[in-house]
Amino acid sequence: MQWHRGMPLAPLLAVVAVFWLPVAAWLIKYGGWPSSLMHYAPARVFVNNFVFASLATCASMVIAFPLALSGWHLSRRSRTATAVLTGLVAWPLVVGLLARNYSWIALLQLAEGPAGYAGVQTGLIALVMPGLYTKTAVLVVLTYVFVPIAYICLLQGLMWIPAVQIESATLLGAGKWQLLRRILLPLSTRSAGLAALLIFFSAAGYFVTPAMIGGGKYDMLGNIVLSYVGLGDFRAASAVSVGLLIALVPLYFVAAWLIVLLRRRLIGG
Amino acid sequence: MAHRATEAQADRGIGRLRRVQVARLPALLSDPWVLSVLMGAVVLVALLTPTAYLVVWSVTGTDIVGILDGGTLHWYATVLSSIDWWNAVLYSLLIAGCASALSLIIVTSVIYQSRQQGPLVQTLGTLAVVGPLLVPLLAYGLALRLTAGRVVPWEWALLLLGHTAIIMPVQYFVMEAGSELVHQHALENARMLGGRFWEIVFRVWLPQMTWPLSCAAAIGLLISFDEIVIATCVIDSSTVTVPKKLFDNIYAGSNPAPAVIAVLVTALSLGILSVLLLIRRRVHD
Repeated sequence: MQWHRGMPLAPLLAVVAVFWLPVAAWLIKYGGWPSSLMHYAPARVFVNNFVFASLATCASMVIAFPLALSGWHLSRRSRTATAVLTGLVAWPLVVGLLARNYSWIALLQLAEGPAGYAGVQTGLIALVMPGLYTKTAVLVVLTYVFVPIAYICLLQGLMWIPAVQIESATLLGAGKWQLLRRILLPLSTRSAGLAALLIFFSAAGYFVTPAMIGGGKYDMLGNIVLSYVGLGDFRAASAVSVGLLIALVPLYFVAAWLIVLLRRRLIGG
Repeated sequence: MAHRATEAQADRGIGRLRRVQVARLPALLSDPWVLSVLMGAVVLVALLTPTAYLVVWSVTGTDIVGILDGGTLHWYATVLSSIDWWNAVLYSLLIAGCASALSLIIVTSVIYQSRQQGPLVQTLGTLAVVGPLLVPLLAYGLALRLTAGRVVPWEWALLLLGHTAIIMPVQYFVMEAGSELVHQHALENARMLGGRFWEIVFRVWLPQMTWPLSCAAAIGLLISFDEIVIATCVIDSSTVTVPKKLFDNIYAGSNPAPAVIAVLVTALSLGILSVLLLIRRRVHD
């Protein structure tokens, strides 16, 4: 009996059991329109959360793009150089999220210097480094956390551009800035869009960096959910989480569309 | 006179050369590739400074965060002699290893099976596996605790499920990118020659996917080892993973123990990378 012909369903069923079934059951039980949502998290908290996540996303993409561009440019001469660069950029991901946040706590404290313990910032470093437990520090570290992810996605997008298009444009007399503006940027837009969405989805529910670098003074939605979890009020935590999910629904369709389009481009299916 | 004329000519030549070099500088800076490399170098230094500082902090740190002292391995001795840290590390490694393996089995099956189906099934399979990237992890952690927790009452099982779910999308992308290495005609030839399903999978397809499989397994291990969100939602007992232990201590003072853990994890990652390079060399041979 060729029982393996039924196998296409087996791995998909495993995926459903591991992820989609718990989420669906949770939404059914706790996800009736959260009428008391505003009681647990006012609208301004949602707005602040999404503005903050948007700022971190934009900053990550803008900072990662020159790095990805240099990686792509190096790959045209030496793949090894690009591999080394990618390894260096991805190294912070290996070190670990919490350790990276701890290192920033130490760096920001060091920048403040001994006088910082009295609440006074001194030194030239203080001019460029934000103080610990400030909103700027949270934004800087959040951006720092997401830059490697943005780099990897942007580099992939640039590497997928057919070399023949670059060569043709060069042969037809396109200058370097024209190449960048009219070939590279437009053709890497989908990958950049997907990267931005993935970073935004992560940043919207983030709580680690605001808790460690913000000192609990600048709560994002993730911190509010975490505080309810700590108090054992899972209904409130679920209400806020469902509100977050509902707010992200339009972006899910955009992300799904981008994934399908990119998949067709990669696999041709 | 002739000597002075020659000197004057040489001076003019040097002056022209310097003017050309100075004039070339703005041209270099107007080159987008040069600009991108310069900006990229600045970003790279900014990215690596905090991680480099971890090494410094692990050997010169004190109990007061930000104050450095002379070199000492005291913090390494403290962490390596602590039963609590060893329990956390072994627990994390066990969960990470099992989650990475389970996720790899699921993702490999999805990729192999979906290639033999139509585009609709392939797309649905992709969206199903990649879906965890689109849902905030905190929401999934709550869902796991409040619903799956009623069916599966053990914390380690919930951790395993949660980590498997979050590793799946990343391993899927790695495996999909690596599936370009597979020679499709080899699979077709094996089918035409009467190869059975499991024979083709284990003797034709998987050997060609050794490198992507190894990379996906290593990446899954590292992601799971560093996972904090699911652990925060699910763990209530005293048996904690390394990230949970680090996170629980952020308000209890910050000695350099996190830096020590980060350096040790980095050393572990270097070991895994060496193994991967050996596998890659063997595959290419």
